[in-house]
Amino acid sequence: MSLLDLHDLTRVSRRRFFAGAANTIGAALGTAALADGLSLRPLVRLLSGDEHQPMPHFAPKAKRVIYLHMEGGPSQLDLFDYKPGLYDLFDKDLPESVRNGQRLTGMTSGQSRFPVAPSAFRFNRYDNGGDGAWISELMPHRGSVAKELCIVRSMHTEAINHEPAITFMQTGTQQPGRPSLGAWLSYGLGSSNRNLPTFVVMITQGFGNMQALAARFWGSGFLPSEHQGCKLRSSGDPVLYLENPPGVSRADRRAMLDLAHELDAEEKVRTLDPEIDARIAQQEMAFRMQTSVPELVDFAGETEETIALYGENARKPGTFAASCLLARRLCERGVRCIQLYMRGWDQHGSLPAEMRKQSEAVDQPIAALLKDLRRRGLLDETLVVFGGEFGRTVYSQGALSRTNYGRDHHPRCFSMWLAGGGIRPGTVYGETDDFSYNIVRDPVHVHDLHATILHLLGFDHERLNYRHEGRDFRLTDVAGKVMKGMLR
Amino acid sequence: MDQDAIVQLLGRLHPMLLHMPIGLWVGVVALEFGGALIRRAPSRATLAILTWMAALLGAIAAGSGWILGTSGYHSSTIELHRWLGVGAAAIGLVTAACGAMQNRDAFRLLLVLEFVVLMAAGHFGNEETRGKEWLLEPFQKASAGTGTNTEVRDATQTDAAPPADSPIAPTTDAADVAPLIPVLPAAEQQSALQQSAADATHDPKPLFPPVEPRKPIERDAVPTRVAPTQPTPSTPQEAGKPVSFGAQIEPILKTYCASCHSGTRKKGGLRLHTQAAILHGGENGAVVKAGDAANSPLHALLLLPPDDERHMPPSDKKQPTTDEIELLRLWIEQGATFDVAEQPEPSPNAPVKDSADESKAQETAAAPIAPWTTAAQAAMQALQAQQVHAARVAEGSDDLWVDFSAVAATMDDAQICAQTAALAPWIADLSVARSAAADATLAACASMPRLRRLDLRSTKATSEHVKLLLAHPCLQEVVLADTAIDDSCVEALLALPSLRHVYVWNTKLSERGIARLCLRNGLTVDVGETAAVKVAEASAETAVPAPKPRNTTCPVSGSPVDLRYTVLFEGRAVGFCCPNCPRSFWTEPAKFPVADR
Repeated sequence: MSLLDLHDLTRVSRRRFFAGAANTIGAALGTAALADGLSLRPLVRLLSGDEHQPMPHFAPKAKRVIYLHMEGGPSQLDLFDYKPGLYDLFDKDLPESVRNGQRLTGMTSGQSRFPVAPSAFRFNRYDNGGDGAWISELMPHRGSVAKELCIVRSMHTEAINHEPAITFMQTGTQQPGRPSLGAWLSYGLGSSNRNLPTFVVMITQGFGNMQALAARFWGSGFLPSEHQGCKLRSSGDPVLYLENPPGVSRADRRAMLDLAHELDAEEKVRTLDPEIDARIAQQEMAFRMQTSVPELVDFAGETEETIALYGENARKPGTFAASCLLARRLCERGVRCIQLYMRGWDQHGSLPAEMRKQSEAVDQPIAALLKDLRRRGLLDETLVVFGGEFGRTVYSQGALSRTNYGRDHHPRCFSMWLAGGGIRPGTVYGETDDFSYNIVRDPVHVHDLHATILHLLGFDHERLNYRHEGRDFRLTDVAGKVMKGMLR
Repeated sequence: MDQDAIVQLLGRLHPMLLHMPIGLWVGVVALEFGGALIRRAPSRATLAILTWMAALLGAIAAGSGWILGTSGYHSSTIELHRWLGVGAAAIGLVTAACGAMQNRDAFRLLLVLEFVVLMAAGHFGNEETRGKEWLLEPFQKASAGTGTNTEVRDATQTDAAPPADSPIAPTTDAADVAPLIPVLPAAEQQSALQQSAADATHDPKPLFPPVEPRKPIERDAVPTRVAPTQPTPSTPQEAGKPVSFGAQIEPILKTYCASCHSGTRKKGGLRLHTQAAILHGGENGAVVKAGDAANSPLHALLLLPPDDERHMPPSDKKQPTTDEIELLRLWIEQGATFDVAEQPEPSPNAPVKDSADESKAQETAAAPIAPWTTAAQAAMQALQAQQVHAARVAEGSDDLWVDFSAVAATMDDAQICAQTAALAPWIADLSVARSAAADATLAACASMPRLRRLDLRSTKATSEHVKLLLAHPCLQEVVLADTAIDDSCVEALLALPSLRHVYVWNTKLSERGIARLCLRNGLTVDVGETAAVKVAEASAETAVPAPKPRNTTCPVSGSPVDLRYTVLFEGRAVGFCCPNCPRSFWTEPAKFPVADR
């Protein structure tokens, strides 16, 4: 039986399992293994398809990704999409020709009028080595790294509410169940540090209205489950049960795992269930993390100067600053995909006050992260992505004053930025109309963003796929274009 | 519109047109005889229409074939095809006429004849476009293992080769092949430094494992045949002599490639008529990868089977001989230089090198062609088992990315050396950041022929260690951030001919040292602030003007200088034409006098 057949067998279906065929084949395999004098462990590795690990289709520009997801949908109008023309239109009705009957959420579709709410914040033009980048006063530190950014003002998505929109942003489809971007990358790239998970997720609590974050946003869907994101806890031990219980030594733990694996391997030969491999891999990972994680989260080696760069908050675990510093340390240790969630960007009301707090929490750490990566020569091979799941409306939700307003969800345009590995620095990509309502130039769909990210990591998004339920799936489904204009 | 062009177009429609009459004649035969078989006569009108259509289309196909045949096809096969085709067309017309005259017996007889002639014409046409062996190739492949097969393509070699039934091919170890690979002008300077590096590590063992010769892909399948890399007497190239571009390579390109790839004709965006054009490559990128013929399309595409659509020259064009392909391979392996003049013979007064130096130089020369071996695969897996990341950069590439980041804190200099030694020929991207890497690692890096990126961040590397990199020919990016390097390594960095990006945040480099680095054209000096690039820009226009090379022609090749490849040598700026020439220059500067402007 060739290697290929064996590999196919590992994707055993329920039907085959129940048909009993698996038992016969399993017995045959077991005999073969004994006859060859092999121990079961290499056989299990063989079956788990390690040898079939996909690899980049071409030389990648970026070796890893830091994805900063701003949960809630930060307002592009108050951060990166400068619309000075709106100041004169304060409290005027949004022209019907702009909205043109497009769908609104149930939260504002009942409003009697849609008054234009210009940003309460001043914008500064920062030198980015090109035409300059307009960034709001909420992000003063971001201005200092404007040279590194490729600001995309023409993102658009299909979903209008958080749950499906985040699902879409993270998995390429609005329905739950598909693998997340990080899981695809883990599957495609493999680990470059087997002592840590390939895909790490950290969550910071925000100040505004927060939506639930489901673990499937970093789930592995139908991909083998070792590719799912590993969430580091924001308080206490970053990973539960990091310490061995009293009376159990590391050698005891090892012996216990070895025995468990032997039993698992027997079960694997009997049932050909690929999840057994995932479980073995995860137990082994957990064992190694017992030593690698304490070293990872120990900031004692960081200089005062570095801490000052990220801000004093970097000393408090769970803050966005601490997560950013941890992200850099994960980068240095070869973790391929690091995702930071900042919650609380859902400003339906009291937008200016809430945005101020939200921005304060993320601005300096993010700028520090970019600077820190730049210094260490890591930025040129690390892709950094910043953005939410959608944008916000130009019209005010609820009461409107010069200094207080709210904004509803807006999927038709929003701003993100990318920096680092292979991205053309100091650029502003795409353009929206005068109301930041519709896109007028270079639209970038979520699938396009995914295709571009995969491209930078060395993958043709049409070829990174996985066979499941009888057909090949990919992150970009049947769409997606690589946005050449964003590339170096 | 040009009348000639229309005629040519008609000719080129032949491959399309010819299928129509064939199909129709098959139809006529089926109707005529199939009808008899099932005892139901076919409709006479149908038969007449089909027959006339087949005959007329056959005549048209023959006509267009005749036109196509006049444009540069000369072989016995094509003559046969030509006359069989014309014959088929003529017989077809007569057949149709017989049919019209209701002469049933003559019609049937002619129909059979037509069918046979048509098939024969088709067969020879096929042979012309696909090659003689094409049809029966599957059988030949199957019997190749028996050793009785004689390959037509190797006819040029058979006289020199041992009899085909000779059971064992001559050995193919490195020693046999060595004379074919020219000994690069050995650099006293380089080898001395290398020696000192080796002494420092108490490891006098050469850093490269012996390298097996690379065999052209195609021939690996036939184990009993002589590998063409063998220095057999029939090889036109005198052993050890460098291939000359002007005298040997250019004529080959003119003969076989120029009709599609020169002047205004640039299929695939590629032109091969000048040095610049060859270096520029085509729309799919470079066609020549110096030192690596197997990955140079200019050579590799010639080795593809003739029916592969990427095979070059196209199978209907004149094909280069095995010797000519071998010459191309040698030329690329020797670095694909364009020295118009013959390289000077080594002077008889040159100091006699000791044998150790000799072998080292040979290894250095042989290193870039190291083929991926099972031993390398095993070494890679061993490294992975140590939790060191080692993987190919991308599918189809032998370049390796080796990253010690997972275990950096526990790695010392000697361990890194030991672990990378077996993979040295393939490592293109090495990160030893945050480890205790120092002199031994850097000395090892100097002999990684493909190394393009080296990450030494937060290691124990010092200026003295950086000097051990010598003038590494391919190193493009070096991360020295957070190390103790100082101004004394600036010259060593500037000596790296391909260096494009150097990261020097948190080092002991002074402003002066950084400014000096910034003088180098095309080098980004990253001091770690986003303003870093600014330093480079500012110094370029204010402090000191960028050094102008003192020569206008490349001292190695004699071609015009490209400002991007300006290298500081003994405090003076010397310009070169390409990134390869500084490498030759540095190995023996005395050999290449710099002509002052």
